[in-house]
Amino acid sequence: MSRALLFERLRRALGRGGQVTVASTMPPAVEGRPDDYRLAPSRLIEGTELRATPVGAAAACPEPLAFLDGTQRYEVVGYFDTVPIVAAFIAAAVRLRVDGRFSTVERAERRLLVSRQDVLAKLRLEGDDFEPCGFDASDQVHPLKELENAHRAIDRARSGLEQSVGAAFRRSDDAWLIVDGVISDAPIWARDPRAIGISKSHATLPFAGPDLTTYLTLPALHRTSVFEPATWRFAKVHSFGLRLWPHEGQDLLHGLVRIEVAETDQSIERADELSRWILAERVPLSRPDPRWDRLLYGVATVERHLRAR
Amino acid sequence: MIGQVVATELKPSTPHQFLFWTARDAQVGIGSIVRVEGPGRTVYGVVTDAFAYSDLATPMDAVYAADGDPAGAIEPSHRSEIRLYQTAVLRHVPEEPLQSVPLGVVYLATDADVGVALRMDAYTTGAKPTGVPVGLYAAGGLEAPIQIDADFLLGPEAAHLNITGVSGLATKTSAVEFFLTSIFQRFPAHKGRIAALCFNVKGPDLLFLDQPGTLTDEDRRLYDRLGLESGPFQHVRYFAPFKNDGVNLNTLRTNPDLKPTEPLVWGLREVLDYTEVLLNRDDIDAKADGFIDFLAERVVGKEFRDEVSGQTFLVRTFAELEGFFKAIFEFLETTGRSEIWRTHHVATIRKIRNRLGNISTRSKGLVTDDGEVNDLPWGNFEDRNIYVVDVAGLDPLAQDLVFARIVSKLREHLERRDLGVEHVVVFVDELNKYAPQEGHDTYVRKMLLDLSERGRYLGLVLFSAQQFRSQVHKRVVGNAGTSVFGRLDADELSTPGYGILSPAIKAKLAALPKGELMLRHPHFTQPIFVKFPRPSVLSGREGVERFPPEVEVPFEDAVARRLRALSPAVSVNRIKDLVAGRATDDVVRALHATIRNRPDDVTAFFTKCLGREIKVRSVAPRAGVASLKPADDPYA
Repeated sequence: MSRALLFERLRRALGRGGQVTVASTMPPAVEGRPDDYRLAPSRLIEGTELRATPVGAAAACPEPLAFLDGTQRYEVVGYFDTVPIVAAFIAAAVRLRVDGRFSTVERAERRLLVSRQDVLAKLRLEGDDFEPCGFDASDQVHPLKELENAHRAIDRARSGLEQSVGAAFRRSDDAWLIVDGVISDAPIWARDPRAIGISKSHATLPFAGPDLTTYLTLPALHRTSVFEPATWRFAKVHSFGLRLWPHEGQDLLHGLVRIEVAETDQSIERADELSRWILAERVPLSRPDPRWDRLLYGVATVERHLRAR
Repeated sequence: MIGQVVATELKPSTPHQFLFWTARDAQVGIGSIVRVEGPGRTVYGVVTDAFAYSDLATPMDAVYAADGDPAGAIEPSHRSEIRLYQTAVLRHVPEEPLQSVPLGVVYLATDADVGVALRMDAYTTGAKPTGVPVGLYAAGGLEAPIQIDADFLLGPEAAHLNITGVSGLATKTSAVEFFLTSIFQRFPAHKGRIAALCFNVKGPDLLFLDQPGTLTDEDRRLYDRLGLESGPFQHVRYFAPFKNDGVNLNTLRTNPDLKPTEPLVWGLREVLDYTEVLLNRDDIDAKADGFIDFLAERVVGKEFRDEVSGQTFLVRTFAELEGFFKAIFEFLETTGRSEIWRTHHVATIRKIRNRLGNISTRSKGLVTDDGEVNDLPWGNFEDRNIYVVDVAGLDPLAQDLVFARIVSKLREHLERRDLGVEHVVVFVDELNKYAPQEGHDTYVRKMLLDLSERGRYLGLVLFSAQQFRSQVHKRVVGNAGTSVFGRLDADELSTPGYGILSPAIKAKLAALPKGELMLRHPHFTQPIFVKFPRPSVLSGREGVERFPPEVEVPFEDAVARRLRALSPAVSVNRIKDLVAGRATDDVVRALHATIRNRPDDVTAFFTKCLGREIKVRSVAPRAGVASLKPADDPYA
């Protein structure tokens, strides 16, 4: 059954109880990830000052390469009084590339019904199409704030699903794995020497002042010095910025990604090599996705695979 | 399993077509038959087009990714791509209610699937199966024999077969030879007896049907797979007119090591009913028609007494007809009574005399002056026999006469049910010449039209072939229940008649290899590609190399050779002595009579027919009576 039909069936089920005001629109405020824009200066690991280093010509990873990503889709399906009730699909997958061809080696998906814990407890829904995913009540019950809370709950669930899928992959394969996003907030990846996190989001920037200028004006095919981000949660990681495409005439963030790898003895030595691998992954272009300047094709195929299901 | 049906709002599945996608290496292609399994419904289809594309948004993205340098376009990841196949529905099971194709799983068709898909189960099973193998469908390592329904190939439901293909690839002739092999072996007994009559219209095409051809192991395997035995036709009779000398046959099949070709010789009676063929359009008017009818009904072949002149005529040959005309003209001139003879104007009579008189001249070799006739075995056609009439060396007028008379005679006998067989396949090649779409109406075209429109009720079936179907009369090809296409010229494929074919099928037709055909048959809702084995008879080209025609020899030698063909005991020298100094017409007449009668003692019979030689004796001028008057008498 399609997601749209499942959502619609859920709305009808909620409406039958008489307690819920059925809704079917998505307030613009809940689109995308709940990013906080901030500066979080990092500790430089390589050298004494932040520098831009040319990495050389792109060179594809000579080994099989895996890509991990997850997707989420959610809609407001109703309100209990003024508390939003959100239905969500989350999914994650690993696709392994061997000799240029991709195959999906791990995949998982979940359907969630997200709202405040107390609201979920009052809903009487038949069947188990959607599993409850509650969050704690906030003091001020502003509907949009509750939506943001729901969004975060979904985000956490998706992150957990990605880690679950990744762990399953790692149990059977030790191929290099490119993770869409940071690895420092995932215990499974933060210490994995063959995991590479690629952050496209720049809501949190790792420098301030002149270093920020150096970071944001990094030339194409250059990387920054290796640094230790201040935002790690489970383990310290090493990171560096990498400009995939020229930003001149575009935007400061155009083609800029931040690479995260586990803190190892070789992480600085291998920064150039890893950068060349990532540069090689610029093509094929992942257009028409608007994030094509930072979205690696392998990651894009994972997203496309998950959305197509 | 090879694929999955896909349908979108823009490209939905319908009851008659659907799309499915496969892995890149799936063994499926244009013409492949597939089976779709959906909830409560099985659908069979044939692939008519194929598409492949990647997730590349625009070609410019590839340029941008490679930085404008194609050599730099080496990408670590192969783009996601799709192999998408457009498929035309062959059959739904159940047939009702007719619904769109479900989003099911797609399999390559097995033997059994092919049978169901093409509805062959309806006529290849049961108490009275009527299937006739015509080739093998092959795809994805699978092979399935394809049979067509004899009721729809040879009547009475539908009938006729038309083959289109470029020249030089042996598709047309080879296909017909193979089809006849199959028909002769598998034509159902309950449908009666069948024979074939083939017009050889060019070169040696059909002149060695009784000789074994060269088959490869693959050909033999195909025969086995189709349940057919390979081998030449066992019973073939060849007919050809004489050349103008009346002795040498006008055919390339004259090698003495072969079964002799029989002469095809017609006389006045045989030709008179088909004078319309020989007269041009200006000749044919009501008056001429009336006089020809008068000759046919009152004069030819019976004793005719003319009350006006008081003379009695017996007209059986062109020579006797000429005598009849002369007598009329002499009577009119002598009496000076009128320009009308028995209501016919003398000008009309003169015109008909000229035209008929020309026939034996223009069609010399086919039409005889003297009435010795050798014809096809009307009334004695035999089951599974092929009768080949070689008209390749005849001028167009004589060819028209042969076509018209033979097909008309077949009709007459089949109508009366006294031909000897119940079904006759008539094969005519070069329909572009004999039944063109454009041009003035000819007797042969009318005859072919009539055959294609009404022949099936009689058991008279037309197998026809041409290079350009688009240039053949639409009603001739349109009435062909079964159509076969070999490799086609691109120009031909661009004509409107092929508009229903997908570009991919057209491309496949334009490059179709030898031994493969596209087949349309009333039971098949879509064209099907099949391959067939090489016919197990000697091709015309190989035949003339292995059995070169005899060199044309002098008259006496030719007569002796023809008589020796009847009996090896005939002495060539004896025959040459017999005919030496004899009038050519007398010799030819005696030869034809001998051939027709096939006596035990050929030499004796020939001698008798030749008659006693009447020696020409010179008569010395009479000496006269001596003058009575002395020579010196000045007053005498």
